[in-house]
This record gives sequence, structure tokens and C-alpha cells, in this order.
Amino acid sequence: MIKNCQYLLLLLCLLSSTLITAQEDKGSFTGGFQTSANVFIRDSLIGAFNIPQYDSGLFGVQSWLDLGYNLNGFDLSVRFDMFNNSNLLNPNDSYTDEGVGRWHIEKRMEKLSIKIGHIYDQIGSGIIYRAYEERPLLIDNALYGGRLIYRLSDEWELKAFAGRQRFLFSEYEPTIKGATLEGFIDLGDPEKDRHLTLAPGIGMVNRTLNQEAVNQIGSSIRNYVEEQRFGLKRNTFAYSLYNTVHYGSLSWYAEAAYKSGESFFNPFKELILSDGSTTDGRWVREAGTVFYSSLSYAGNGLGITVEGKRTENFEFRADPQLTLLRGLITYIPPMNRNNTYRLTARYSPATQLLSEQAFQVDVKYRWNKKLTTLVNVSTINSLEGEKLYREIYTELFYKYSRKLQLKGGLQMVNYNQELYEVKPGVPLVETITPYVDILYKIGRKKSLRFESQLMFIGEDEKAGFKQDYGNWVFALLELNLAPHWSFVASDMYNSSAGKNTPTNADGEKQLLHYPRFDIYYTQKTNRFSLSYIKQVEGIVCSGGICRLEPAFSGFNFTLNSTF
Amino acid sequence: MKHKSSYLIAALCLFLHSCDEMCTPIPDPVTVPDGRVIMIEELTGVSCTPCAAASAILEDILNNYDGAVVAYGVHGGFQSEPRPDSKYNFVNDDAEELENYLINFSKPAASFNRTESPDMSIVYVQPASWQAIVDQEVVKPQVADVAIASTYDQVSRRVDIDISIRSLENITGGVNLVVAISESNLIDPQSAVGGDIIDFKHKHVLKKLLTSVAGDPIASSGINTGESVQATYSYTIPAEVNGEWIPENMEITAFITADDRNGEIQQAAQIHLTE
Repeated sequence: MIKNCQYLLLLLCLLSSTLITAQEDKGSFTGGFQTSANVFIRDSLIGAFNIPQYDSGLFGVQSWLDLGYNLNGFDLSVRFDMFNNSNLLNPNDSYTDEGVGRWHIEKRMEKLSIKIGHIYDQIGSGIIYRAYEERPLLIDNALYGGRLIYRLSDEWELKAFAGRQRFLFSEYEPTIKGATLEGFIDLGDPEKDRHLTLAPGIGMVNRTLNQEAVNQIGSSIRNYVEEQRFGLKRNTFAYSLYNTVHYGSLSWYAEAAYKSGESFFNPFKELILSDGSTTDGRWVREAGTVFYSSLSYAGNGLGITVEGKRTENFEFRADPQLTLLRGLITYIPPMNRNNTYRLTARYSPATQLLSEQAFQVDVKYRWNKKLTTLVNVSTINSLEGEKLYREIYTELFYKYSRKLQLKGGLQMVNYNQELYEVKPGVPLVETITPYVDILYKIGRKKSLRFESQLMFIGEDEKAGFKQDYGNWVFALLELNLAPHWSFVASDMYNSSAGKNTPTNADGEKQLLHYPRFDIYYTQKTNRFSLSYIKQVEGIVCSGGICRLEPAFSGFNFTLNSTF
Repeated sequence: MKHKSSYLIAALCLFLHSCDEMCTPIPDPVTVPDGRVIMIEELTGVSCTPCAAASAILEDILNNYDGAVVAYGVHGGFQSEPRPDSKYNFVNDDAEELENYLINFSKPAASFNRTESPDMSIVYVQPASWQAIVDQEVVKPQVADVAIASTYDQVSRRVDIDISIRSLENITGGVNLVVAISESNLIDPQSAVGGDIIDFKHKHVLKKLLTSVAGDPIASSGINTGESVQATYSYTIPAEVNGEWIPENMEITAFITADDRNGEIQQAAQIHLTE
């Protein structure tokens, strides 16, 4: 807390000195506020129980207040974070803390920029380094340290940074340093109508483990048999070469990343125990690679994107002992479509860091002013050939008139639930989901939107039921009264029982409704929402980073405000 | 200028990468202070795929410390319901309550003397790091003695348990006692990463808590150095069914927690029920 006060005082001192030296230019002051409050209503039938919020906490809230001030090339920013009985850090637990979650001071000069505090940044597509914030998953891995950017010319820029990764209101012990050189080369010839540009870059990141972390890994390796032991090192280096080529309507991005040998836990490697027996999973020291490329074309009503990726041993965290969403330095782009409808988004694959080979093709064609079609195919395997994910997604958009728009299509998914959700012995989930979305504009300020999806799922022959929760029906009706009000009512119904469908006291499967009602009110830059939610357990993903969220039952209030 | 910079970056990368870092030696085994016994509460389940490996790692740790580390396996609700081919159901009310008390995000996980992890919880989810946590915890000085004595009557299947606690330093605030019964050598299927293990030997399966999960209060205002507290419990073991509830395979575990020390476990003990 004392540390936080010191930061605030430092910012205020700088702010006032800047104001004194620049009486005439008053600069610009910006801010934003976001809050989400939950009221938890226990519902043991859907699994919303046995966590502190349902049993005793009953109410939880998390809020962020951002303030920024910009003057004379100075950029000052501070953010206050508050978690009060919040389930965001751990969906099964309650977390309470508050304080200054982020601050930074930046000075931009002609060629040089200096920034200290909490810094968000990335190298290339983020494979060897990405510091970013993703509030729904409580990922905020800003670098707490300093960064210099020097502009060598109008086209070339050199960047270097050093610090430690943030975790909640403190930092992990290991240190992170990095540097990049990025440029822009125009090889086009406007006279010949040839447009060719390159945006190459090279980046490097070094992570140095603290001695305690090395010793902790060493404690585990100590028990290994001689042939499975390895030397421990504190430093890991990661390098990346990347380039974007634009040629007319074509755009091609390619990146190759290499990580030097480091200690990480591989759950698939065999461990020989002291009594000679074996089990799965042990620490190893191996190098890693990622190759990623994306080629896209847009023109004449046609848009095509082809992507490919190969990942091997690229577990790269602030501390190799961290798991799940904690301490990630690497961000490997996902290779599947970002679906938004409730049922088409139900089975989303998390990016695999140790072994993954994936491809995606997305083709969109605008036939005329009224009709647009889209086909997306993605396929993800492990390097050993194990099938992880398949998706075929089709969409047809038809603008019947200025008042009426129709969208519909079909999604087919194969999803390796055993791997993604660590559910042993379950078969590959197979779904077919047709969907429809109709928008009708009643007047200049009123519109009505209806969407519906039906999910048909495969059979789990071993269990004698349909897979997972069985079939689903989802319907949503949304009334928009611009510019202020929006009302949404939806229901997700478990139409046919699956293996995981909840049972009653007599052991009979219960086909449940999961209704949701939302009211949104927008007043200038303030948006309020109040929702009643009953939500089934499911995967929540953002950019390939996913976690399993338990069922939710209760009310949710949100406020998003910018000023 | 730009070429010079790219050469500079490339040279820097090569230079840094080519630095021949000295390997850090693997640390020697820690020296456990005489009498110190720590407690591991393992959160596990027969349908939890990585739990088989975690149990093996735990067993290795137990073997390496020769009694300075004791444990039981908590088969609470999550991934613990019997599989279709299971002979036994390890889930019981006490295990479920304890699992909720320890609060967990995923399995396998384990609590080490109920100390707080860097994740702000009292469980650690990465079995690969358990050894390091044991090393940290086991070297702390012993603050109390916990001794268990049991008398088992074969006819009534009743076991009388006498717990004796003696403090080696002043422990302020409330002190609580937890007493548990567990059973080992239960052969039953277990899911595993490399495929199901049909004849998995489940060890230290928590069967019954004779106290509350947070412990029964035994000294509301602490225990002074040299002071002793006694407690007695009785338990009638259910009739043997299907190779389960065999007294010779059962253990009694006891440990004390201190309110003023974040509820952390101060000292533990474990004996075979029929010792």
C-alpha cells in the first residue's frame, strides 16, 4: 500500500511540474471506468454451488479506473484496480484486494521515447513476447520496468526493454529483457502502379530465473535417475524473425521463432521413479520452435486468408513452475475462427504450447450488394498426428431490404475434449450446429433481432448417452431502442440429455433451461447493463487462451464509462 | 545506418546466446530437523488423468523423507466419482467438505501444511514443483510434538485414539486438532495420461475425519512452551466389504493448526491403525 502511495505521489509531482512549465498548453486528460458486480444465487442443480460466493459471500465486484494525462510529449497514466470477493482470479474461489494496478510515465522526444512503469508491448505476432491485458480472464502481464525506443530514421526503429512481469499487485521474481529492430521498406513504383512494401523485424527476449526458482526445479530433478537429470541454467533466450509483405491486394506475414533450451514440465514424458516404476510427466530441458505464416488477399468482392502454424516445445513463462494462464511470456496466435454465437462458441480450442500443427482457410465472397457468403475451415493436430480440432463454418448473409437482413449457416466441429478440458476417456466431441440471425429495422431508431442455434452432438457409446451435455437449443430476442435502450431475452435449453447433464436425487437426467435477461442503457459514453443469468459450465476463450468456467447463477451489473 | 543496426542486433543476439552460462548445481537433499513432520493433503480423483502421475510423485516424496512427510488423498467431488469400471467409491462427505475447504481450481493439487501458495490459495497445482515446496516446509524448525497411540478391538472393530500434543514454543491464539482415518492398498482403476491403469494401487485414501476440517479447538488461547494437551477419539470401522475397510491397511493421521499463524499446520503425525 505504501508502495502504491509512492507511485501516486510521484505521478502527481510530475503532473504538477509539467503543468507549471506549460501554463499555456493544458494538455489532455482522459479516463475510463469499468465495473462488474455479481450477485450469486445458489443453484446446486446446474452446479452453481460449493464455492465461497454461493455459500457465504453472495456478492462480488471487480472494478478498474484508468486515468491518463498527456502534455508536452509526456504521457502519464495510472489505473486503480479493485477486487472485492471476486471470482475472476479463480472461478472457484474468492479474491479480495485493491490498489494501483498499473502506472506509467512516458516522454516522447524527436527520436527517443522513454517509458517507465507498467508497459504493454509485443514482438512480432507475440510468439516470443507479448505483454497485454485480457480482463475477462484476468490476464494482465504488463512488464514492470523501463523501455527505450529510438527512431533511427523514418522507417527504422530500435527498441529495448527490461523489467519483471506483473502478477496482480506484485511481480514475479525472474527478470525479462528484450530488444527489437523493426523497419519499413517501400519497393513500389507508383509510376508503374506497382505497390510493394516490406515490414521486417528481428526480436530477442532473455529471461533470467531467480536462484530460488532454479533451486526449486533442481529439488525435483534431484530425485530423477541419472539419465533423466540435466544441467540447470538461469537464462533462456528467444529469437524471432518476422516480415510482412504487401503486394497490391496480397498480404503475407511470416514469422519464425526459436527458444533456447530451458527447463519445463512435459506431462507426456515418462518419469522413472526411485523404485524403478514409471509414471507420466517430468522436467526436461529442450529448445522450442514456432513457425507461423498468414497469406491474405482482398479485392473484387473476394477475401481469402490462409494461415499455418507449427509449435514445438514453446512453453515460455516468467517462471517455468507457473501453470494455466499464469506468467505467460509467449502468445501464440490461435488457428480457429473466433465465433460469437452462444452455441457455435461452445467448443473452442486452447492454443497448445508443446505440440501443435494447424491450418486455417477463410474465404469470403460478396456476390452482389445483397448477398455475401463465407466458408472457414480450420484443422488442428498434435505433432504426433493426434486429432485435436476440426471446424467447418459456413455463413450466408442476405440483405433482403433496408429493413430486413438475414444471416444463417452451419457449423461442424470435432473437439478433443479429453485434451482441452482434461476429461479422461471421453470421445472426440462431434457437433453440427445450424444457426440463423434475423435483423428487422422497425423504424429509424427501433430494431428487432432474433437469433437461434441448434446443436446436435454425437453419441458417447461407452456412457450410453449423448456426448457431454447432449443437444442444445438456443434462442435470443433483442429489441434496440436507439440511442439509449436495449433489451435482450434468451434461453439455452438442454433438449436431449448427455453424459454430463445434471441428475436429480433419483438419478434421472434433468433437461434444464438456462435463461438470461439483459437490459442495457447507454447515456453518451456511459453504458450500463443489468442481467439475470443462468449459465452452464463452459470454456471461455480469448485469442486461443482459454479456461473452464463453472456454471453461474445470479445477477450481473456492469458499467463501462469513458471520459 | 539501418544495416549497421541490424548487424548490431544480430551480433548482440549471437553474443548473448553464446555466453557459456555455468550450470547451477542440483541442490543437495535438505536436512530435516529432528522430529519435524509436515502434512500433505492431496486433492485427487479416479477420473483425473494427471492424478496418477501426481500420486506417484507424492509416493516418491513420502519414501524419500522417511516419516518426516505424511499425507492422505482427498477424493472430493471433482473428477472423483467412480468410473464405470470402479469397484470402490472413494468419495465421502468429509472428503467433499475438505476439498471445498481447501478450494481448488484444478486437479491434481495438494496443500502443504496449508501454507499459502503464490497463487493466493492454499493448494499447489503443479506436481512437478511439489518436491521444492516440501523442501521449503520440512526444514522449518519443529514447534510441537504430536504423538498418536491407538487401541484396536478386533471384535467390535472399534479403535480408540489418544493424541498427545506438546508445544516446543509459545503458540498464541487458538490451536486446533484434525484427526483423520485413511486406507491404503486399494486396487481399483485410475485414469492416466498414458491410458487407464486398471490395477492402480490407491494409497492413503481419506475415509473419515473424526474432527471438523478446520480442526477441533484444543486450546482457545494458545499453548505455552512445554505445555501438553491430550485428546481422545473413538471410531468404529465399518464392516469389511469387497476388500475395503481392512484395519491392517488403515492409517490414523493427526495434526494441529494455529489460528494466529494463518491456520497453517504446525506439526503432524501418522501411524498404522493396528500399530
